[in-house]
Amino acid sequence: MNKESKVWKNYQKEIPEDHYFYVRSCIRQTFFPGAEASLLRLLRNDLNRDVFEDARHTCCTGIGYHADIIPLETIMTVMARQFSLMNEGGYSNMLVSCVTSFGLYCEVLDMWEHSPELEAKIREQLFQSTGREFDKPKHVVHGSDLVYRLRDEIKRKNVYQLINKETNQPLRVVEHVGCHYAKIFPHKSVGGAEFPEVLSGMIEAWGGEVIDYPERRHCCGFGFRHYLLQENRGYSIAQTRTKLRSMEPYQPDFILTNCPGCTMFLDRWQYTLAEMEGVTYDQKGRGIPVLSYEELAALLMGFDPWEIGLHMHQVQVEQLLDKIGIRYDPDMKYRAKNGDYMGKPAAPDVLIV
Amino acid sequence: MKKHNTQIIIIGGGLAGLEAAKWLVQYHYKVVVMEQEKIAGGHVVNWHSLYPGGIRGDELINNIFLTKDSMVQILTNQRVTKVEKRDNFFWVHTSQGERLFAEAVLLTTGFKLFNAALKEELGYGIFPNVVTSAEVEQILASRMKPPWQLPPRKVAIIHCVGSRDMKAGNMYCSKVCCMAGVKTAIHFNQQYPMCKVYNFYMDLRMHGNSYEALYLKAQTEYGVQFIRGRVSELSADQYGRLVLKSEDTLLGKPLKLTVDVVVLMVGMEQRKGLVVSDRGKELAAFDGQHFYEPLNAYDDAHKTCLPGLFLGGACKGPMSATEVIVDARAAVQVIDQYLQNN
Repeated sequence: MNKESKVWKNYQKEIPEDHYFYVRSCIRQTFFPGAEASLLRLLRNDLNRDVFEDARHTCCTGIGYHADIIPLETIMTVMARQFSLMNEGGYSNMLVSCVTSFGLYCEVLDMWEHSPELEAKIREQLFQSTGREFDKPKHVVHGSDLVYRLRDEIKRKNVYQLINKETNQPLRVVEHVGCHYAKIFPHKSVGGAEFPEVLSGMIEAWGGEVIDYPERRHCCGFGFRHYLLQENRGYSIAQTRTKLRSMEPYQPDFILTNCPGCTMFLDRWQYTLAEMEGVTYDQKGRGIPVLSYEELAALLMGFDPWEIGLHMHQVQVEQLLDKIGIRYDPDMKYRAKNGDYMGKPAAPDVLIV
Repeated sequence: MKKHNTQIIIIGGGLAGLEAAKWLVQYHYKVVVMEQEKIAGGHVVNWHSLYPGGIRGDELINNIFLTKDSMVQILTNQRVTKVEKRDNFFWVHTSQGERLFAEAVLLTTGFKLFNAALKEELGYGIFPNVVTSAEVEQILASRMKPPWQLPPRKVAIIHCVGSRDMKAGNMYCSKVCCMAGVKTAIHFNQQYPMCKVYNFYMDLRMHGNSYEALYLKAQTEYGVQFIRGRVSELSADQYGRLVLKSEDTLLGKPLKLTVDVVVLMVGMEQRKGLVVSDRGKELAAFDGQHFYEPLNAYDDAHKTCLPGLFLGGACKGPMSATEVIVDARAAVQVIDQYLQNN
């Protein structure tokens, strides 16, 4: 890849290094709460970045939007309120945790650009309902954008690398970039829809090998309507199956994602598929571990795997930790912060845990 | 002789413009060819070879120059900004602020190549070993250094890049790329004998004399593999080789192919338009939104809505070099007839 070419430069986005207003992800909070905590700890404590949160900020309504249960103007007004909170905190850069939220913020700002009368109407509605006004953000940045931007700085602080400690070879990593990150507004992403580099850039910087696979750009299986409507869940699981079957022959060491939904479905459906078909997509029957980019960054910087919530994953991560040589205490896996034993989840029939 | 005082301006010094100039001089007209580039010859002068016979592009252009006459004046670095008709004559304005007089004007402005970077999925400008057909012509003609270091072992040639493509905004066929793709495949094999070439096509339109024979020769003598399918994605593997994803639509199966070089057969597009005015009124027909349209496609295929302004060559739509030559010669006859009657 010629990264000096004029064309490649067109695929880059401006990512400020510091001073962000952070908006959380509802589904990440629910599925993998440690991931978000890792990102904030990493940025604030280890990389000394200024990331501000306002406890009054709310859900972006993305799930409601994609389920068609919230009117568009309501969504816009909710987002306008987030912008207002950002202004109140003295920030102009927005750091978005969730890929769905990121896509939706980009979409709303784009709609306002093309329909200024709509923006004016939302301004009026927000003022009437809350007395608030707002300025639009100068930059809307996804969490993975910022980690990509800081990947070399993270590399310098890394305790571990993506190297198999027994073979001394780079780990073989497959990545899956969330559809709403680059496919809706390609120019708002690193590398656009065709060459999204946000995750592969991290893998390469941290010593791993990016493995291409045929269905690399296929949907993870979330696809909102496929999952949200129970009758459609067959579509969801069929898409995840397509992905996993496609990557299986390449024997990846793990899957890296940047979207909470993708992490969830690529991880949890491995259990479901194992129960349904009796198959796993690795040779040892343990499944392919799935990590989000924050979890990976945190692990390599030496965070404790259980502190960052890796025991919340369906496919157990110990096989990966052992390959990298990450030290962990197996006894602490199911202990709460105060040391109390939380109990071990029931074991699946097929997937080895 | 009256004709010697009659000046015709040809806008565009490519194959069509030079061929028309050559023949207008035979008819004893005074001809000025205006070319915006540093040298005349258009696209063709850079072409390694032209199918079906294999003549070099510069050789073909030089053949035209061999017959050059003192009655032909070729002005290079001349960008025409406006063609203005007053009464029965024309003023042709240049970007340098000059204006030239003419009794008839022939537009042979040709075409521009589709910008391959717009087909993002094909990685042009991102991966150095993804090159356009125009670049390959220059590489094979040793006019350009190839981006590859070692002789390529596997090459994919992708047809119809920016042609017959609704998403690219070009619904038409660029006509020459099918045959040029076959020709390029053969040349790659001749230059790199160990090379295996794959052509990805949606249809192969082998309509000219000996085209079908060359297509067969590519397969039987050079082992070129023709795959019916559009390439949907191109990426690099961990070794920097190019990985294509496509579907073989004849087998109905997805396909993944790793190659060293990808050649994009880029289509033809209309050039930026000209300001053409008739007694002060600008004519929309020349605004460059589409290829220039003649009065009709049959017996008035060189005339425009403005009497005295004529069209020749690929400014009317995609044409092969042989068609351009024939069309330019035909335009000469029509111009002569017009001037005789006026």
